[in-house]
Amino acid sequence: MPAALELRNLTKRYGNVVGVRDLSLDLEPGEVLGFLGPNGAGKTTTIRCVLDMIRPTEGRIRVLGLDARERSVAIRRRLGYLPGDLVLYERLTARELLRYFGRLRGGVEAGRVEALADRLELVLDRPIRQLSSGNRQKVGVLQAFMHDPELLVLDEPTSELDPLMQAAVHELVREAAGRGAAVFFSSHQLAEVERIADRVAIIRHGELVAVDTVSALRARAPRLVEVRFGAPVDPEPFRALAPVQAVDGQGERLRFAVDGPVDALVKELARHEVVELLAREPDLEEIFMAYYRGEGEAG
Amino acid sequence: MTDIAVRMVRDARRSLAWWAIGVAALVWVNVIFYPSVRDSPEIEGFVEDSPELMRALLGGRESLDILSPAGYLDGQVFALLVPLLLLIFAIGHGAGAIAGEEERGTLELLLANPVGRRRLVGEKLLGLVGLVAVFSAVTWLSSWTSGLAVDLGVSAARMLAATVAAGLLGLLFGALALAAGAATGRRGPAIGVPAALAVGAYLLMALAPLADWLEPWRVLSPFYYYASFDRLVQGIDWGASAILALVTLVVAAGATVAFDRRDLKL
Repeated sequence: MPAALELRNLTKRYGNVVGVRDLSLDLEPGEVLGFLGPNGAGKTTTIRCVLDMIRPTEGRIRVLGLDARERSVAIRRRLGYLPGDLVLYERLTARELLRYFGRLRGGVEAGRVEALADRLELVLDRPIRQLSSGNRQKVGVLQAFMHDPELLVLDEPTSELDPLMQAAVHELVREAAGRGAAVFFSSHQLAEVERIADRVAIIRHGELVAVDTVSALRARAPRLVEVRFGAPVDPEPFRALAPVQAVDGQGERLRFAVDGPVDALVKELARHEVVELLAREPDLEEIFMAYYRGEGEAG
Repeated sequence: MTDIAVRMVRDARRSLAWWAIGVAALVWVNVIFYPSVRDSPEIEGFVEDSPELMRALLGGRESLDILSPAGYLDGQVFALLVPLLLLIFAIGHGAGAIAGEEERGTLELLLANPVGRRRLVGEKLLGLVGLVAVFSAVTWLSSWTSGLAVDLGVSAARMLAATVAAGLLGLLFGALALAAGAATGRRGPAIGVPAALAVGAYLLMALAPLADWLEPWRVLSPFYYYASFDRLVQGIDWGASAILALVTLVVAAGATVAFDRRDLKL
């Protein structure tokens, strides 16, 4: 089976501004990939290239085994897309909009829209202009899922939703992946990506800085060691230790980021009175922030 | 494969209703005064005395008797009023078809569906044809009924010939708006380009009889193929209709090429 999504050396420039640079990425059927980065990092640019709304300056995109440019209509037939900036037809009701899009798709399984609307607690017969932003977002989610696509491209799908509805969308994502669909899920919320993604791709300033499973990223990342001393301690000697990448805090409390064996750190700590010692794996947020500070490339 | 065209017409139904009321009222008001104008002695002298330039700009011809039924109907309704309203209507909806959706942002979700860009341009043009057809039908109906009311004596078929010509003219400029919008993604140029072209084309057509050096160029003006007075007297001109329709198709083809090549402005 071909990859659900295959990006090869994707570059998109706007004049002199680089939107995305040399981005390569694969997504397999049944996989949920979290596409992580703050606003302006190039997530939406990447996604719009996949949808053939904008064209790459360089590089190649294949979606479900088809060329993204040449076969865009065939691709979109099998793809569900939720834009990051969702704009709906204000004068239609949700039902009218979904029926319109259903016809453009050559029909949607009977009862599917109603079943999804029930799960998302969406009232279908009110004009969209009267809906709250959360309810609009549900209309967007619904049109992306209603034809059971093989690839879902979701740009910040839960940004307007309350936690309960976020969970409902996560469940839809898991179900879709369960029946073999691939999900490309962009977000700037780490906790969310950590919950539902099999793998995470981190994008910064248009460049991919890491792609791996959450656990591998975590295993690769520096350990965090937090220490409370009996008396204020000079942090300088610790900075000289090779595996210690960063030291912060002051006085009695110091935090160390350690990449590699902790032996040297422990021996240095032993020269002082240690009241409390905590060592742990960083959470995704800390890994992410490390990449964003530009410290993660080596790790 | 007509869902987008049907949607476009349905979304415009409110605008269409107001336009229909407006154009019907204007046609009626103009035609209904025919008997009193015809019978008033001062009018003929006024026409004779008015400067050539003014008569040219108002769509009149030197030889034209504006008090004949066809001359009156042309001067009051078809020469300027109907094409002006039709052009505003068609350019507005042509500009909204793609550039409007693109500026509002609805185009992104629409094109998430399996709809190619060429099909989108084609369906939007089809929707525009539908809208212009309804507008023209209203124009024809109100000319015919108001003509009957004052016993004007221009046949319904001749009025239909003039209305069809006006519809084709409107469609051409609407297609230009669609194309300018498809090429730029912005409503400003989508309205400005065809509006400027329309003004230029009208002036070219109207002023050509007054300047020898302009005379050969008037074949470039779409208004030359409109010639509403001739339609009201002679009936439909298939050659001129074909030229207007053909140019519209060429413009639409240009729109697909331009739209297909560029990045959407989202």
